[in-house]
Amino acid sequence: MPLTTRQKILIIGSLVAIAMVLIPVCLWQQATVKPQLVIYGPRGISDLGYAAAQSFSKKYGINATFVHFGMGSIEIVQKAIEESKDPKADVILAIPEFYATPIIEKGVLEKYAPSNIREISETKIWDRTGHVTPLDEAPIIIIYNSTMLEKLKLPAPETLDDLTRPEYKGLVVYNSPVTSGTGLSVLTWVLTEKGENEGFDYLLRLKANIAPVGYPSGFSSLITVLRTGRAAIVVSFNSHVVDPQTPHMKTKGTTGFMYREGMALVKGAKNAEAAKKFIEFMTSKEGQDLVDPNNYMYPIRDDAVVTNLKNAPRPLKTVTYNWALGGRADVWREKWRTQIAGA
Amino acid sequence: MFGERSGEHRSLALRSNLPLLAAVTFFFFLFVVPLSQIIAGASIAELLEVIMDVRIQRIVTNTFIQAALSSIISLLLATPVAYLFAKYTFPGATLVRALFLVPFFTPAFAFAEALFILFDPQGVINRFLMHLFSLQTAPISILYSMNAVVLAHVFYYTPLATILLEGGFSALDQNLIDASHICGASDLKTFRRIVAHQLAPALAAALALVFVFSFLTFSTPLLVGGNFYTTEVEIYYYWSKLGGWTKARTLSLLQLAFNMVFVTLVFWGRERVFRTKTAGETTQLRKERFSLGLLNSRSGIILILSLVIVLLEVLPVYAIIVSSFGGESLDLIPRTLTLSNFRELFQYDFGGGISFLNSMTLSVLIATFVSLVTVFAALITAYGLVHSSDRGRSALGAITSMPLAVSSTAMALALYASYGVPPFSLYGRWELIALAHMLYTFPLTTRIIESALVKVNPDLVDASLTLGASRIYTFFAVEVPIIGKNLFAASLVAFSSSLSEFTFSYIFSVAGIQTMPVLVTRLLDRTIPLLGVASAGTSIILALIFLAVTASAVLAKKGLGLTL
Repeated sequence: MPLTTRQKILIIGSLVAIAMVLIPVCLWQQATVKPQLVIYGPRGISDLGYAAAQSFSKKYGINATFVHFGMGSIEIVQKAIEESKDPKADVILAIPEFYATPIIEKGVLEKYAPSNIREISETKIWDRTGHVTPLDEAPIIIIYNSTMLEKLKLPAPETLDDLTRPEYKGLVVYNSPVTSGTGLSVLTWVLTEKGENEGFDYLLRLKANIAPVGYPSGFSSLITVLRTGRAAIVVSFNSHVVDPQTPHMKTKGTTGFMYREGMALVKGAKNAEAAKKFIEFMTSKEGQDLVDPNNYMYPIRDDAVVTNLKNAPRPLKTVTYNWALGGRADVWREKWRTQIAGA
Repeated sequence: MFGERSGEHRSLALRSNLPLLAAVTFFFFLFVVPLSQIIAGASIAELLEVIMDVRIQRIVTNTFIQAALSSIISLLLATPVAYLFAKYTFPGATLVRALFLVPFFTPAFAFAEALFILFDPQGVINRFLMHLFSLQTAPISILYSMNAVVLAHVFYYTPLATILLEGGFSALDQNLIDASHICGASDLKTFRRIVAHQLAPALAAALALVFVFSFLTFSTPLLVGGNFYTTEVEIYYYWSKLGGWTKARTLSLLQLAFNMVFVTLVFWGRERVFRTKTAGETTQLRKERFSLGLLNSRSGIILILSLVIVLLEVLPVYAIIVSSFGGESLDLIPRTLTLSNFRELFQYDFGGGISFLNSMTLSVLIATFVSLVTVFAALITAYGLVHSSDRGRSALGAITSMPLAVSSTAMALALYASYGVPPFSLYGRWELIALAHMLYTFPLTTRIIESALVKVNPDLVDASLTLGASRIYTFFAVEVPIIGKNLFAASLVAFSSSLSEFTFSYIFSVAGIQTMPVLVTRLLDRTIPLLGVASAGTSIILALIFLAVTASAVLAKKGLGLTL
């Protein structure tokens, strides 16, 4: 017997209603329980953030949640500053060394050093104000595509000054400091080594040698540029040399810039005790063992595991951020944007 | 009066303001409350500064030029394809149409890859031209410029413009076209006086949507634009600048205002120029069976052009599939075929107890929930819109399109501030992602349903009421069955949009709640990205969307029912 219109309406309506009830029920188990520790960090370290939160939760029975908001390291710091009157985060993970000063000066962080900080080499503790505990580090170096340079019969560059040589015209690339933390690290290296005024003069000269691709916006787009041979020389992390997708990338760089990042307790954190425990956990060998496998950075503990970067080249001499430059990262980005990119 | 559609002249029983009130309430909580967060965080002083800033003026101008070029070229390319789909029937038409629409839901990185395949100095087109003319260097250099951004948008939005225009072509009055020819008018004159006039509303709607989407572009300029900046990229810069959030919010509002002026003008123009005919009042465009012989006819050039455009549009999808089966992206013919990327994808540990299979289940459930709720809300809203006065309808139409015209980052942070924190505390829960997806899909589904509802003959409704049926019964027994296919099409558009949505899903993702596009991006964001595995993930998303769009096209028969 064919269904009447009323019956059809009832059947379809019931099916929709059942679906609208059943789906939330199915998804209910996906919802997380209330977090007892909120960790802010950039999207670039999601793998480490999730792994750290998971291991910590398992060990201490404290439900830790890693939150990145799809943001980079600088935006996440901005978010913490915006929320400083009513902080939502308990810990901030991966604060770049060169961006620590502004956040410390804004009074967003609480002074805290974990009890196991003494297990770390003194030379690796870079924040002398006592707010930021070191987490990991990796060198920015000069890397080249050996096949391309051999084909062009060009020597491999070794220093920043080499990059401005006319024979490298259209071959050099580095990330945009406006959209990329790696790019900002390159800018910081140049300014640390050459000083602010001379550094920008150098970047202007270097602009003549930048490849037609311009300044890639992020790390993955930089990899695409290298993978497809659109640039022969790059200033970036040493991981490119061990990346199987870029097998021709090599380095002769004897110097490099050591990018360092840390973690800190948020002032007024709602779960301060759990946050302190987390920082201590990440300073321990157990926490540090998560760094290289999940973040392709070097742990700051000498006894921690290094597998991914085991064969990556390390420069003989590294430059570290010059704290005398102060918290001027934003000023530099603005200057780079207007004077170098010239958008 | 037969054929009238404004509230005053429709059935007397349709005057109730209840649906409109319900729609306003839904829209208020979904959009106005978060928008108020952006407004509260903006400043008049910053607004003046932003307006006077020469650099921002230049960026807004460039963005406008880019959006205008993107929309005009997309419309020009979409027109012949829409005509092909509307006029001709051919075996496999449903599948071809569905495949043609999939690029609209493809992630930005995949399009960037497609541009490399085609336009790189070592790309397919340059290699072909160098071989053909014995050239030493690549003749086409388009990447990393505004032109590359326009090109990517043309790839993206030609399918969207096509489905809008197909509806317009299908609704052309065949009687008028025949009469014009009988009276001796040339093809050109018939096109100018009959076709162009009747097609104007669909063209205007397509222009408005593609323009707004192109104006709000963010990932594409970052991937292929080189030093070309758009307003959205500028807004992103201020999010990341110390103390720059007020300016970011202010600029977001300025961007919204700019887009709304444009959209309102388009809707206002539509109301002035066009009067929708109800079903049965006119004849529709006569369908013909496609045959190769037609290529030699007067329509031959249009058909050949359409086929070339369809092939080019399918190329990015093809490139992703090749890459997911182990091929190199620059090879059109894969050298190897393997399932290892798919195997690795399903075995990959994303941390937090998440696997790709979990994520697939989560994404499909969220998309299903979003499509059900959105279509229900859009149905009520569209009902309210259709039964309001002409002037009110164009204003409300523009207002309900507003969520599409706001910066995604600004809106996501506003949603977080409204519903992510106490008392709602939805952050870290799937409901916040679903809410954001509803906001994103609501304008499009409302347009689809509104365009169907407006064509329901009010005489049928009056007849039902005269025979004693209640208003609610009449609505479900008369109006809903008439627009049933469009409701289904709208729900599948919402489903596909939710499934492929990235920005909100990414911003609101936590360890246990991650949708498929988020996991794919994580594979690409690794220090050493897993490109093949990411392509396998994208292929699965696109396959699900293809299935949804095909089902939609099969059930809706005539495209997606998107006629405005």
